[in-house]
Amino acid sequence: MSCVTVDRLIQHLDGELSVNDARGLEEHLVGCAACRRRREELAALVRGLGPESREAQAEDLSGAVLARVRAGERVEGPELRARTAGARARRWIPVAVGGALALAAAALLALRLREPSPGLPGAGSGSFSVRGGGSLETERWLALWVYRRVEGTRRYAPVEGPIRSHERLVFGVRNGEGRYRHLMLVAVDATGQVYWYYPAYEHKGSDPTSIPLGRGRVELPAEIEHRLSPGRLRFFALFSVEPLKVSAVEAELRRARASRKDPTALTRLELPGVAQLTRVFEVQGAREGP
Amino acid sequence: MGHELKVLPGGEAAIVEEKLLDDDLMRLVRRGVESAFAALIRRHQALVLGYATRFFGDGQLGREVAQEVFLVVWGERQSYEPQGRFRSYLMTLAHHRCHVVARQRRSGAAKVAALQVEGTALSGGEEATALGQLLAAERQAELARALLGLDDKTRAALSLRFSGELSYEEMSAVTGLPEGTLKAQVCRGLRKLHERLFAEEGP
Repeated sequence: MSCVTVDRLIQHLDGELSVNDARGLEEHLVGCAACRRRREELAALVRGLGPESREAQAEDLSGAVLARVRAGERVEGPELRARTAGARARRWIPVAVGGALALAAAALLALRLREPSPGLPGAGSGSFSVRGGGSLETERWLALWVYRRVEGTRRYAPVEGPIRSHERLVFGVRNGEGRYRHLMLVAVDATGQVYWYYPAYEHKGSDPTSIPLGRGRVELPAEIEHRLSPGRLRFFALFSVEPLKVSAVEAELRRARASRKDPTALTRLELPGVAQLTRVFEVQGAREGP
Repeated sequence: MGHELKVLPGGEAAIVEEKLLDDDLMRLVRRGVESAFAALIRRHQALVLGYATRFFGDGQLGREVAQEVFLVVWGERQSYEPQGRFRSYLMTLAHHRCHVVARQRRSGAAKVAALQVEGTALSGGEEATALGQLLAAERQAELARALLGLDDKTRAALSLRFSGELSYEEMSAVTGLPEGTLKAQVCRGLRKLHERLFAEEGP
């Protein structure tokens, strides 16, 4: 692969590349120091353009604004006021429709939560639900994708239908508004077995935390294989502002498991302030030996 | 979610539960409840302040413009229609206010490019970290200067995207521009900043 253009690197940083294009670019970066350096330069620019420092965020303007309000000061909004009432109404119509669609989508998702995927076993795509610590407006911007490699190629396609017990999976998420800074991805099967995808949790006694999460569409680079038990498998993507500890999530999974016969029927973990997405898949094939 | 209001001895209703929705706070603002307005300001001031400061490259002017944006909100509180998109509404006001002020300053022969550029990362601190902070502040100031070299639209797009952390859909609602145009502006802006700040550095 020839070197990557700056525009392409920007699109990658901005989450605007498809999973396949992103993977191709990342593979190139592994072997190309010049492109890696350019990408680091661009990433530094994006960080520099990011939200103001905590000191600036701590500044309170309310006192000064209220003092000016009480003094009778007015500031015209010339651009908005210049529009006719009709024009203003038209301008906000798409927004209103968007809001209505979001509410409709939320209602559908809530229905799915109450009626968990009757055709799930082997019935195509996994069910999807979203619950969280943020507002619906926030949740509109979150997504979780599960991909598998297309056999004989280096391309990836969204998983539809059952997962094989030894299959390698790749994940992507969307963190559209960038409100959440950390991510965990974990799955639980009908026997209560927990499978950690992000962060890696390989050593008992360690207590890793959520991985840092960028904004926009984020493709997680690793192909991950667990020896999955046949049956239902529920993924939880946990979006948080502060990092979560594996121990806290496992404790919640244990607590929730204790009250249910089938842990995959869980649709939400009691983790305050954590936005959650879940997807359910059917795993097929015998579990291989160790 | 609690919507509890507490009436203080002086008779003024004070918001004791700040988890009210933005639209509910605006409903109270319509009734003239100042504490609801203060809660709205505190909730969104970092967004507006960050955007205005990035736009002008000047913290003092950014603070002034951010206050003016909230004064517009207060002045137009009766015409606000609660549709669950206060953030987009606020950023639309901020976006326009910044452009109006920039135009006023240009027509007054006070070029935006001549404004003093402030670094945002320098905040004093221990002597041991002073050099690191100074370097970070200088880098931030270089970036702010380069940002001022871009045209208003490109600078606005970069500020909305990265300082305001808006999605392209939200940016489109704020600016009235198609998402594709905004993506192109962000890409072009970052490319130009990269050329200005990194082009001369060798491998």
